[in-house]
Amino acid sequence: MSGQGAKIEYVDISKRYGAVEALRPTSLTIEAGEFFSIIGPSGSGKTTLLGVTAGYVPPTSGQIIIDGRNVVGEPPFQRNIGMVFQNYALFPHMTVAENIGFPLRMRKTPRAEIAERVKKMLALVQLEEMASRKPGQLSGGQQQRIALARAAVYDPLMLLMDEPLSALDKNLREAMQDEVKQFQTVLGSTVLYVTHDQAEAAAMSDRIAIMNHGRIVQIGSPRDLYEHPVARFVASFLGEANIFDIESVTPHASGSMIATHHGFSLVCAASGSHDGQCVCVRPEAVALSASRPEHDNVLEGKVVDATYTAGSLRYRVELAPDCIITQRTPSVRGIEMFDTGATVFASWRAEDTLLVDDD
Amino acid sequence: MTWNSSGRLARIFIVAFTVAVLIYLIMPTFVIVPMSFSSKSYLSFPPPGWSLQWYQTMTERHDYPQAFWNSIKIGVPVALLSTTLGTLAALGVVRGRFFGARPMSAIVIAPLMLPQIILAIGLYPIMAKFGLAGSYPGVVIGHTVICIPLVFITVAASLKNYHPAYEYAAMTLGAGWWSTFWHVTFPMIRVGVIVGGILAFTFSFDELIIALFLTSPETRTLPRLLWEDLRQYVTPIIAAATTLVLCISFILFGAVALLQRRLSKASKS
Repeated sequence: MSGQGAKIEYVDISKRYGAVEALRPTSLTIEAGEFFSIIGPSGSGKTTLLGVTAGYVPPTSGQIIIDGRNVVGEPPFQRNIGMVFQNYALFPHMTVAENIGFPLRMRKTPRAEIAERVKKMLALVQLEEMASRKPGQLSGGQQQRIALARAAVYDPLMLLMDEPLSALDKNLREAMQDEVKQFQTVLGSTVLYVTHDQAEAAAMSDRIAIMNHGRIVQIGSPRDLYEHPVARFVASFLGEANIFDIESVTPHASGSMIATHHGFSLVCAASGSHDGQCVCVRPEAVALSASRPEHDNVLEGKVVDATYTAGSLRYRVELAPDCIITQRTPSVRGIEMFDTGATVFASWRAEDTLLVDDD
Repeated sequence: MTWNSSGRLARIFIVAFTVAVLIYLIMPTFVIVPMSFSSKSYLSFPPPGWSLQWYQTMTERHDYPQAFWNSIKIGVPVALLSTTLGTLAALGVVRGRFFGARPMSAIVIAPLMLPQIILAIGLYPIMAKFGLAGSYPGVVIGHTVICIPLVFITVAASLKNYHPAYEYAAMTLGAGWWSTFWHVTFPMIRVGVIVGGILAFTFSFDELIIALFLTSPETRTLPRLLWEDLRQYVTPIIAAATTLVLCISFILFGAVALLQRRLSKASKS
């Protein structure tokens, strides 16, 4: 179980179904041993990219170079890629040990070696005692771990995961995120992880690609994407975003001055044009106070409602008719709360006024 | 009348109605059974007395055992042939992604929907032209045409029962096309294949119209012999032979029911 993962390069890979461009020409490099996630809404092309990589969806054009070899045109069984499916796809008529041993059997590995490697894998996922059970007798989380073991037992060049945790309930899902991440770290595999859950991707990934309408909108570390979204879609898909439409942008001493659609003047540290751009302000960047503070941006509003959840306190404040801003702070013990209807001042730094593409 | 007692009355009515429908469905089939044990030499219900003589006569005559074996000699190859072809057709239509998959499944099922007499009339001159009329291959080919849809339907249902992800999984794990079929697809559709095969055999074993056109006195099947006998002398020997056919059919249907129960249990777990 040494298997360092391989480097994967996509060169102008695309997929067209009739008139529908499921995947526009996309180029992307995933480094060896990287945990790379693709997130996006359904129909964004992420599942197509996965199918093209696994080999059961033939691409319309482009190359996929794994470990220096173009695999386009090779059937799935020659690619030496491991895949974990959404509903695990464990073979119901085989025992757990037979399932994990299946890829080795297909590779004509000697019986004794199969038994040994299956045992090691079962130990890694801590399910040694389940070897002779059928998948139907296991819980969802256990099936998930067996599916991981089966996909990795033959030291594949990379592991593909298609929303592998989506069938689990929330608590188990969070526990499994850590397990999947640890599994990948121990094996040193290159992982391509597809999910629509941005929090899940952020928790595990080295880098994330956000897809929409068949193309990658932005690639970056979870922090990059959250702090520096390039587009409105990225800003709203990854966490929460307050978006302001722009009327005009004028240069200013410390960046630019933005007049918004609702008639507010915002100070922004960056300079930009207003063509096809909008403003994004993260809820955490906003502070609320009862009296007018000294700050780069200050807007007056009324509290619409407050939601207290484990970890955070979230306010919605009406700044103007049809214009509600969301604010979030950690819900620390004894925090003072504003009443609904109270007049408050929302403020933030010029650096937190982000200019993003309005797509 | 309270709501409760009217509810009970309704339930009694439903049970009585269900029993009546079941009797209506099954009774005509079973009337033949007591008639086969008749002591007299004509068919009557209820039989005036009891005897096993007609079963003895049936086995002593040469034509009944021969027709029985003919039915088996035709039914078994029909089952094997239509199981193979029907399974392949279902795999192609359900799993294949090609233009015309839908119309193709309609064409495969068509022989089952069309009147058998049309098929029989159409098959006869073709078989005659190839010199197959009256031969075993002739009637086997004829029956297989109708039995392929039976297998196609049961196997297609099994294939639609699970997501192709199992096959993708097998392939990413290194199984080639044949290994994927043998180790993954076939075990998952096995019950559908066996049920289809049994239905095919049962159909061929009971079938009359195509047998009338395509068998000769040498290859005559049991249903054809029964039909010919009926036109001449109506003796309880017909009832005895029919009871035999009935027993075989029921054993096979019982096997189908058992297999399907296993299938539904397996898909639940």
